[in-house]
Amino acid sequence: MTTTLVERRLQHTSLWPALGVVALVVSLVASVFVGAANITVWDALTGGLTEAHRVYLVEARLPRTAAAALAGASLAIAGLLMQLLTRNRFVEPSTAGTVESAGLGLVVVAIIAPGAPIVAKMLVAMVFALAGTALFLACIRRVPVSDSFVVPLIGIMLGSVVGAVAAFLALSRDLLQMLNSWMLADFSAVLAGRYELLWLVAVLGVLAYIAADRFTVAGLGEDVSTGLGLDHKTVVAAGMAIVAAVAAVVVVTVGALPLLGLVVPNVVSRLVGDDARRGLPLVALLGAVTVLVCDMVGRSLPGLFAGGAPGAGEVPVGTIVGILGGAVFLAMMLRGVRNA
Amino acid sequence: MKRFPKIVAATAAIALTGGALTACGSSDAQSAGNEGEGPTRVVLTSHAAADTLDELDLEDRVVGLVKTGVFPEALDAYSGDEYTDIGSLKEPKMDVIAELGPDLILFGNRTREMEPEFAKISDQVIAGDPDTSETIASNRAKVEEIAALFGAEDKAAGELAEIDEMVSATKAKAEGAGTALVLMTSGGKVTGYGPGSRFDLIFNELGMTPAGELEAEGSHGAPLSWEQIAELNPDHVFVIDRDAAIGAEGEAAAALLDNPLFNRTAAATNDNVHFLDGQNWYLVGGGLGVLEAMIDEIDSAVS
Repeated sequence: MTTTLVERRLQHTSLWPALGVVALVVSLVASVFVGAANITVWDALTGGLTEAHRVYLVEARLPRTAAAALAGASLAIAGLLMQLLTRNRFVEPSTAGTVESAGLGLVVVAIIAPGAPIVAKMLVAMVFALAGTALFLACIRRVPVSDSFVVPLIGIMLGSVVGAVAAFLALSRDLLQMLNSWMLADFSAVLAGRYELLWLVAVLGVLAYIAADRFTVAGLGEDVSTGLGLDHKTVVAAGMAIVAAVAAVVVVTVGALPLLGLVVPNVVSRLVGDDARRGLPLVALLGAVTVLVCDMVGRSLPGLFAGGAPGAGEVPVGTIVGILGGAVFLAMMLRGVRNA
Repeated sequence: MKRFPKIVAATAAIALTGGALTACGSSDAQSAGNEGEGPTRVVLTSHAAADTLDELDLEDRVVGLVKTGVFPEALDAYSGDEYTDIGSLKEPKMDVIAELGPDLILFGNRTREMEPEFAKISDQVIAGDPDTSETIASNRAKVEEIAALFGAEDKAAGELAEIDEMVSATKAKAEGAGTALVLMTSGGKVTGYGPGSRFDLIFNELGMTPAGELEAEGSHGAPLSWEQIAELNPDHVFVIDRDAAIGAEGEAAAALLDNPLFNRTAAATNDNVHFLDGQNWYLVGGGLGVLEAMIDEIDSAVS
């Protein structure tokens, strides 16, 4: 598909970053004021908050909002990096076996050293995620790139195999429910003091931005980038390390957000093209906004059906993101993607 | 229509055993299980039924039961090697069961779908767990059904009457005790249960007032945020630590609940957070002795 005139025009609009920031601010504020208790912006501004509401805001809603924004932004960046480095638009942590490998790592820690501190668990998950991603890269290097759909299919199959091993181990040790909670993000348990590891991924996001040009060049392929004087292998390894670290941290702290890393970078690349330095901040913004909005939907949907009763429960954000991501993934597959 | 002959066969079997029991009812009234009455090679995938047989002094009729995974303390009578381990609650080993040559299989709710396979191994296959939508009534029915097979009706009737007394005593106290919420903790997350859930016993049968309307469906409850729990503001919270019950290491329920939002509830400020015996509530869920223990836990919570 060739780039249409409208699209070319849109790509040169410098409005996107500003729009992205506005959307982020709006969804951040909205996320803070959506919940079981009715807390209004007016109360917050005029100091009319009750003690209970202040506790809700400080201990639950602000941390939850931060967690959603951080997880969304970092997973979207991870998706973009994977797509650049594999030169395939359908690759992201959940279509490359990365997430499932992180889950397998967590199950292994839970069996071998159940009392291990969360940072240790995260590190093990990271090592597994890295190994799983490396295995995926080794697999696709052996497949002729004639068809871009084959690559994510290999990744999904690999992920299923790794996931089956994890499920088998988990089943034999009664850890299946725990594994399920890692594989599906849910922010309902996020409280101050229980999500702060996620700030680590913000650091990784900054690192990715600093190295953005290198990833763009690496995305041109090994021959071209080597010709341009880039140490291709090191850049790919660094990118994959960031991806694995992001996937591990997010899975450990809140659970996986399937296909987010696929949808967001593709939408952004439609808007501004494939330059990582230009695209990366937008990808981060849109990733954060998407997860914030999906979480707000999950938080209020059951309440709407139950007339606002606080006992209505929540729909995990992972489910909402998964539905959205699945729909977009399908639409992309059916329409075909330019440059794919 | 295909099931019809099976039902007839089952009814006939029950009628026959029942008839046989009444025929020599006087002799086995003295000591249940000693007369060689009823099945002698019982295999169980139902912890509740295992507890009932133990309470009726019929544990010597058992040849195999579920021991893989966490083995509840309430079933200590079966810890010996003469009781073969047949696998886990959800995954019993069919070959091991077949080798034991059981003449009665009492299956649990977690192996409900395997009934046809059990029927190939043993002539008599009966559901052993009570139905959680009416625990007390169906527990009574289960106990009576099991006792009748062995001619142990009298002993069962005595204990069942005791349970009924406990229920009415607890109910009287529960009615004035304020609202209640049941929480299960697992893997750092918390889910809530209300009337109609698997812990319906606490509400509809023991008379606690629910703290709010909770989604009843699903055996793992409604996922609640801490803010929702704080807003429900229950007077009593009953906690089941699933991780501890199944022997998995996780963040202890007490540590998980100790947060600024939960601490605002009436239950937390008035020291009315009650940690229930996870093995009894989550793994066993009924039986002559365990149900008594479960009711007792609620009773002491509202006393």
